[in-house]
Amino acid sequence: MKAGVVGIGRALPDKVVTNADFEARGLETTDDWIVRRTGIRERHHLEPGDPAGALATEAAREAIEDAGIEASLLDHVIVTTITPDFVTPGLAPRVADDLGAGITGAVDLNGACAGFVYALDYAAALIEAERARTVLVVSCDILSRITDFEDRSTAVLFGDGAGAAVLMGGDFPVGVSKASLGSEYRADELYAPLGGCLTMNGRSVYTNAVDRMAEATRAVLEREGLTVDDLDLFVAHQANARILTATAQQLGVPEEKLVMNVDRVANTSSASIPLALRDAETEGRLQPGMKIGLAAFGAGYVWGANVIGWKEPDARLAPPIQPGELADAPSPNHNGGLA
Amino acid sequence: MADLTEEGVLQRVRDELEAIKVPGAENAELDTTWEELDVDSLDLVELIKALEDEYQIVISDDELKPVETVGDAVKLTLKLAGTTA
Repeated sequence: MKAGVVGIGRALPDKVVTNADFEARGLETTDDWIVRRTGIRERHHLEPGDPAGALATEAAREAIEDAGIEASLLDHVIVTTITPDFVTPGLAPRVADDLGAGITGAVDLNGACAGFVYALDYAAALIEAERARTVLVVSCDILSRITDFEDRSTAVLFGDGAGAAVLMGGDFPVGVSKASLGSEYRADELYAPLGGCLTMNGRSVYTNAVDRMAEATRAVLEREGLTVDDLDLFVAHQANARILTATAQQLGVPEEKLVMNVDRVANTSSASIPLALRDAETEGRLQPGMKIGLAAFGAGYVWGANVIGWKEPDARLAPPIQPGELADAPSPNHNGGLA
Repeated sequence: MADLTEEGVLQRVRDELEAIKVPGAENAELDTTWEELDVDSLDLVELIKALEDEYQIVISDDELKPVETVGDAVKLTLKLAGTTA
């Protein structure tokens, strides 16, 4: 049994904040300065008080529709976020409820900017172990909630958004590879205290982000018996344009294979990879059957990389898990559509 | 093998500044200051990492502090790479 990506979705708040808006607010910066250093032109911000959960659900609905399935088929919902609406409960139970998924496993995961890559690995592991057949991964971050808008070095970098992917079990030529994951506790370099804003040591973050994403990608390619040339696209965490370009250069990924949408959405933490995937698909750059390298790096430090096949046309899906099917789990969470 | 001469490292600095879109990078000389080039700490982060990778050296934050010109960066690189200019 392998896991494969069969649907993708995204949601962005309506409000667009341009670089000029920061100038107009009196922040000592210019559009030229921001674009040259970061490649960012605009980002979306959720209105203060609006729930992240609603945005997460919107992305999830799109992914489920894209996959052509009913929410009742979901065996598990994983939401990655560092900006939930409450300390507890997390976003995942709300998303599952909003979708009408019935009684299903639903849990949040804090993997910072690397959350999506971690969640794909966990979702694939659940499917491969036959503890779930259909898993929804939603990555939703509202970084405007933890951004210091008086700090010109970080205020312009972050945005809000949600991306989602549906994974199903079956026979996939590529599927979702085992990820290369890593961590190194460096809380003094990139962190947001409880109730506070993101702070970072730019030099350490830049150097580690580039080196760790490249290193993890090389590790995954080697394990899968692939080379960079085998990848049709490379989608890395959209931190800023320079980190993306430097990582691609270190790996030898040509510019035409590097996906970049950071100019339009800025750094949206864990949402950035599914947002970039969805944009690349909309632009026609991402086609079914393509082999894509994913890499992410975030606060922790935590990082990871994997290789996925995109909506593989040659896949054969396994039938849904039925109540009682899992011999070692007499009360499977899946409701079998009986809710 | 990287070109470990003053001219070689200077050219590498120009190339990297050009890669990160610093205006006037191609005309940078040893006495050109970061201020003249409008190079700030964010730009330096990338320049220094490129030099570290290229010449397999490690530049500490303390060593970076007094670096104010292109020539300072070139000299530091040559020193750490074990070559005197």
